[in-house]
Amino acid sequence: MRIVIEVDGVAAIARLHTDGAPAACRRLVEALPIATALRHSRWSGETTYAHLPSLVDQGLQRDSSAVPAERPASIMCAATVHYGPARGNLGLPYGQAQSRAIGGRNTWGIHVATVEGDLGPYLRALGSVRRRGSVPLAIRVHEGS
Amino acid sequence: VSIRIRLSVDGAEATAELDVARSPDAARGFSAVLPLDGELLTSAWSGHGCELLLPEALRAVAGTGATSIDVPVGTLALAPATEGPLLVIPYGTMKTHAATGPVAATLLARFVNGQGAFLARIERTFEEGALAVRIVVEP
Repeated sequence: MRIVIEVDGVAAIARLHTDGAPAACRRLVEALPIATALRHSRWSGETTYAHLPSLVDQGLQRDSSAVPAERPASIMCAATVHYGPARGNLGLPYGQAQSRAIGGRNTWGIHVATVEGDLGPYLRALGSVRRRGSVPLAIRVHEGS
Repeated sequence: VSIRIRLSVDGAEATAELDVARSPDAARGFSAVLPLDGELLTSAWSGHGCELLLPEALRAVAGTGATSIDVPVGTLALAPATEGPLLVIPYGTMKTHAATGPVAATLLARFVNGQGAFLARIERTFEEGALAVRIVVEP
């Protein structure tokens, strides 16, 4: 299954990791389509994030260690989608990043999707958020998925 | 010797006094690169504050004599970072980090005038993006 991530008009397609992280992916898909503001992280490095109260799921955070690929991770890789259910955050990193909360405390999330294809325009769009401020983010199911 | 600097951004101006007694090398090094024009960006690793990338000449003094990663509101500090030395200006909780982990910051100055309006303006970089800044030695 694939999703379309549109950052201020720049679209990219990402593959959901429904095998490795089924519960988290299901939770994300249920929340689609998403239209919200994307901001640059102040604590986590080279990443942007969107805060979505509808994605808060404390149970998912606790249960996720049952499935290896769904185990919470702090490190975020560029061009992935990092879902932090404890606070309902979606991290969209473009470089070196680590999931952290106010004060610098490490937090955790689940790698739910990876962007495919030409990453250049997408990563540049994410990287520009720090200079541009908040930009529109839209996520929807990819037609034909 | 007291050295005061004036920081100007769109719509706000503030004055700060360099802490020459506590951080003599940083204070003198910083005043030597003024006047300075640059771009304030929202912090990426260190929290609720802004950062300004400084000339490479300040790399040697950023972090010297520093013992803490906490930078209190009302102060300005120099932090070493991968991309170069940074001037950090908190408007909320700020703990200086680089991509490699925590890095202690050198206390550089304290606001003496215009702090409230200045910090309120730079906080908007989080929503509105980068902000041009000019820093000069106060005549």
